[in-house]
Amino acid sequence: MKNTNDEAIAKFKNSSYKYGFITEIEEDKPEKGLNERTIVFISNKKKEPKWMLEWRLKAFERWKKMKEPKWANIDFPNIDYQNIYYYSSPKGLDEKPKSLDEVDPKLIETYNKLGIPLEEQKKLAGVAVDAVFDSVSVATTYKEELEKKGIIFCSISEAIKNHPDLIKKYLGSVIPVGDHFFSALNSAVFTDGSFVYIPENTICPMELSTYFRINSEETGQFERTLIIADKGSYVSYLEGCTAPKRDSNQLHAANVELIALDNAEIKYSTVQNWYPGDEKGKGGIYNFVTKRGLCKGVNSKISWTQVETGSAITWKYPSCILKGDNSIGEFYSVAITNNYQQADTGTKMIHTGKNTKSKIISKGISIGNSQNTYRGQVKFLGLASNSRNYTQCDSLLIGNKCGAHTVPNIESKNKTAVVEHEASTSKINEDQLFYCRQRGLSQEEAVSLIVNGFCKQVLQELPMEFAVEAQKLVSISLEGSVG
Amino acid sequence: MENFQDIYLKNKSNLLGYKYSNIDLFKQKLLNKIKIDSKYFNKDESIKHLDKGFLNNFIFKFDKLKNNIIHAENNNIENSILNISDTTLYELTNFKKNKIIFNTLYDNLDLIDKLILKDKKAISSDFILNLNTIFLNSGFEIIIQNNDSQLLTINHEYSDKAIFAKNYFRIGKNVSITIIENINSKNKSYNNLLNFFDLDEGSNVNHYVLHNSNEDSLSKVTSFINCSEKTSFNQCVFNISSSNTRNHHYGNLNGQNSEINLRGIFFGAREQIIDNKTEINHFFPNCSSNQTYKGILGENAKASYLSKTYVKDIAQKTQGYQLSKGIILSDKASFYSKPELKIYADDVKCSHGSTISSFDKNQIFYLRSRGLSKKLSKSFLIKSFYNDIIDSLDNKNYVNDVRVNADNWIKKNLN
Amino acid sequence: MLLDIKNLSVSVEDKTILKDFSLSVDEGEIHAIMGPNGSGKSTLANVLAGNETYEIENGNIIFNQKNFLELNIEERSQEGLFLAFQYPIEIPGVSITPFLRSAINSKLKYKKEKEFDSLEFAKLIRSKAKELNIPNEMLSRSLNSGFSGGEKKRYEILQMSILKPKLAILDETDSGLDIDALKIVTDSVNRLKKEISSFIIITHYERLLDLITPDKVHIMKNGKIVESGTKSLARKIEESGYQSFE
Repeated sequence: MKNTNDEAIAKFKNSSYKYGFITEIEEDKPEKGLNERTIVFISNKKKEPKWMLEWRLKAFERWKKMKEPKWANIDFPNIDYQNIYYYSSPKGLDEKPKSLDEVDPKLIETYNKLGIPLEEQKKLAGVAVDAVFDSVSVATTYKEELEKKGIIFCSISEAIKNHPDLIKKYLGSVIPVGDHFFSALNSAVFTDGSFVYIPENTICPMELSTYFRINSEETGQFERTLIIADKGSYVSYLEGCTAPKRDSNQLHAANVELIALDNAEIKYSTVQNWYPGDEKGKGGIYNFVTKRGLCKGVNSKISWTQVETGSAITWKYPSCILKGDNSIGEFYSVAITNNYQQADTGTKMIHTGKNTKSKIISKGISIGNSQNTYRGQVKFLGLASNSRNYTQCDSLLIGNKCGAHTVPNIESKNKTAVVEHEASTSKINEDQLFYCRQRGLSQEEAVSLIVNGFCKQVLQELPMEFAVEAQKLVSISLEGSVG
Repeated sequence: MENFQDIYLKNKSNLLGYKYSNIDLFKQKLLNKIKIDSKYFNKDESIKHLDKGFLNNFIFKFDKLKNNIIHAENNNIENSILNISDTTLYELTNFKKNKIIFNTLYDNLDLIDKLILKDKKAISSDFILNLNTIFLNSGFEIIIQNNDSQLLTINHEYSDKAIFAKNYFRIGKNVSITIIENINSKNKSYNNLLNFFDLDEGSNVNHYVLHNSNEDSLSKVTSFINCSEKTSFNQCVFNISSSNTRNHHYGNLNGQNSEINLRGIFFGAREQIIDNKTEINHFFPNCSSNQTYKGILGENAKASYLSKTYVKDIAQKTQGYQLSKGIILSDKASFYSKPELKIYADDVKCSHGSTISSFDKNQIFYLRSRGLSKKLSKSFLIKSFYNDIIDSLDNKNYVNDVRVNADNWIKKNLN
Repeated sequence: MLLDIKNLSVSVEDKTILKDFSLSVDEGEIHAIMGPNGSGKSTLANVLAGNETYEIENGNIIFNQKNFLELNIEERSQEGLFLAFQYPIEIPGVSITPFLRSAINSKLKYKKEKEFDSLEFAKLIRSKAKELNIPNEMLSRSLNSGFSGGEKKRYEILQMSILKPKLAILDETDSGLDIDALKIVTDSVNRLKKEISSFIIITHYERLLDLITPDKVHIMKNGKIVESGTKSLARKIEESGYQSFE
């Protein structure tokens, strides 16, 4: 039975990255490299107020004194930060287009090909989209409808100009400027991303979504997103990401900050499908992401769901600081690594308030020559009475050239807190495989079915519109799995 | 305190191997490597969870080296006993009768050389073990090649000296033995004991440790266990000391069909700092391992438990299990746990679990509804908490010592 | 009167579960309480045993001339109240024999009577186990852990027969038992009737009441007794459900 199943898995064909095309478009770029001139260039391009430039320069000063963190279980050649373009926008996009008529049809076509139509008549029902192409936001749909409810959904560049008070109050309030190497870098050179503000007692009537596309060569993308849910509000937000196939590695270093005030809830979902590199490990995105949510108010809730299938390197730990009493933090993750991909991902749950609860469900799948690490931290401070955490992280290994690692850090300083952690690592169950195939499923179908079942707890947390897409993505990521 | 360089130079003649220039050179190199500044402490995993106070307040007292070995035979008992007091005195009972070979490191260059270089890579990355090498002033080798001896008891009685020992145990083919170590440190004694266990094919070792040291002593015990084919190594470290302790134990599975089980129970109160770590490396297929530590922490006690299972790509059919459990009895006590898995083979079953909490309310209610007082209910729950570890032990005297000591601790510290 | 509950109101997490509940049980009586899910039957059992999760808003509980609300969980047990749990709690690592000896000795100590030594107790528990068809090897196992539903229930009855309470509350002890196990349980209840004066039997099914004849049957709904009667009341429920009781 073993042989036939091995053959079954081996029969997978080499995977093909569906989104690997390049859009030929004229670009506007500064000189390569990072110095004060680059930052002034970016700030000027964005027509930012002076305080914003100063904020960036302060971050740059901090960054210059910092070193790349080395503790993660990832291995990559040194990144030459002076050999990267820090800004790239399609020519003529200095001002964000007022309407789609002003947008280069090539860009609209690009988003059509990615399955994200921006035109009025075709736009996705029930999902407002902010489309970010390299360093600029190209278009935001449903803006007016949302404005009627007082919801602000725009690019961060627009928010800096139009809502300076909110930006000044909240930007950097969850991830301080000098938090660590990549967050400082982002604070200095961030280009675009989304800004969301949900006013008091407002349930956002549709999914908000940002679609990030890296197109330009040798360009880093530095996304900055800030979401504020005011008292009693609710929002569900989703981000998607793709990039063309290129032989060289590209850097994506994002900062995402979430703030939930009293009784507010933010649901943040990610389907990360950056170009992972080819089957020999050439090319692919280096994805260094800092995502942190602050449950600031009482009874607030932040829930992270991520499906990580892309990138050559994934380094990200969406976290929750549970400060408000009775607040809730959740983290649901599927991370699939194939070929030579490396993922070091997980979460931090810092309980500081009373009666706070957190839940972590992590599913890692390692295939080919890849390395997949769950790294987590759960911490109960002295004031976090009657708080709870439940963690479950399971790893699945397909083939014996890959690695699956689990590195949880658990700390309790409170006698009334309860923390429970479970983890397991195993291979795909031969009996299940045999059973499915006996019932007539093809070999590929059987593996895909079992892996999807393994991930179900996480996938079902995604907004409905995207759950099906994510399932397909899981199946595609398994292609060429074991040989 | 003075820096280590000065202590070394001052006490050089009281340390092992000082006559040999290459050993001296090696130690000098190590001394240059370890720096005691706070920056270094916060980064170095090996001492992150340790009490750093000992470096400032502790005075190492060394004795002049001697080589006192006293052999005795006692026909009333079958088993062998080794009594060690401070640096220099070894009282051996029934070693000759049971054909146990015993040598000390004193004036034994080959042995010193061998033990200094053994597991060098792992040792050199650990601050405390570097100290063990630099200040080495004690140690022995025990070779057991036959099955005449079933039980070896080692009693460590330290009064006020600093002991840095490397003790080597070689267990011959198909030998089965239980080794019980009682560690009693008193006054301002400091002990830093490093055990090596080499298990030949088919051998079977139970290693049971009982830490029972008083408040102002310090005890650090490390083991490196190397298992060849078809061997089994079962360790239990029971820690009832009133002092700060460190227990680090590493196992290598170097042959097929072997198992290593590292278990521990620890109790902490007052300002105690208890630093536990276990690590098992599966280098060969068809082996199993278990790492289970359970701790009960009251008052201001601080404990950590780091465990790790590594599975090499060829180590298929590995079964690895880790469990870390803590009961916190007070608002000021804390527990840190880091159960790690590092797995490169696919046909494995590895898991870990970790819980930290106080008592389960439903269980307390159930017990009290049967008429048990709150305190008695809690004491039942504490005992049930580590009973699975006690059930895995097969030496009645040791089990009894563990039970009695635990009961006393519970009586004293539960309210 | 053994137990007198007057105007008891109980809430948990701000939700009122028992509302103005009253019930009296005389010595030697068997009371059956029936009612739909969520009517407050198990809450009543837990409150009587002193479970601290419930908040007493109002009312009185007098047991054996003592104000029960002033006693804690173990004191109530020592006074002679026994609760056979609907879901007996699993406590791995605690074996039943030393546990139960501590329990009975706590009670004997409370009453200032002579305590059991381990040998006497071993004899007692073995003889009681035999009556309940519990094999000796099960007596060395951990409390309720890894037991089947039926085994757990039999263990509860074993504990009851050793602790010999004045009042035993059986909280759905019959659910999850096959007919043979049910017979063993009811036989021992009937046997204990002489030694244990009173019972409150909480059940969903009339079948139990065919085997233990209750003196009174109460129907509970929304935290209150809505009707009391004799065994014929139970039959009525079996035929037409709880809808008719408002």
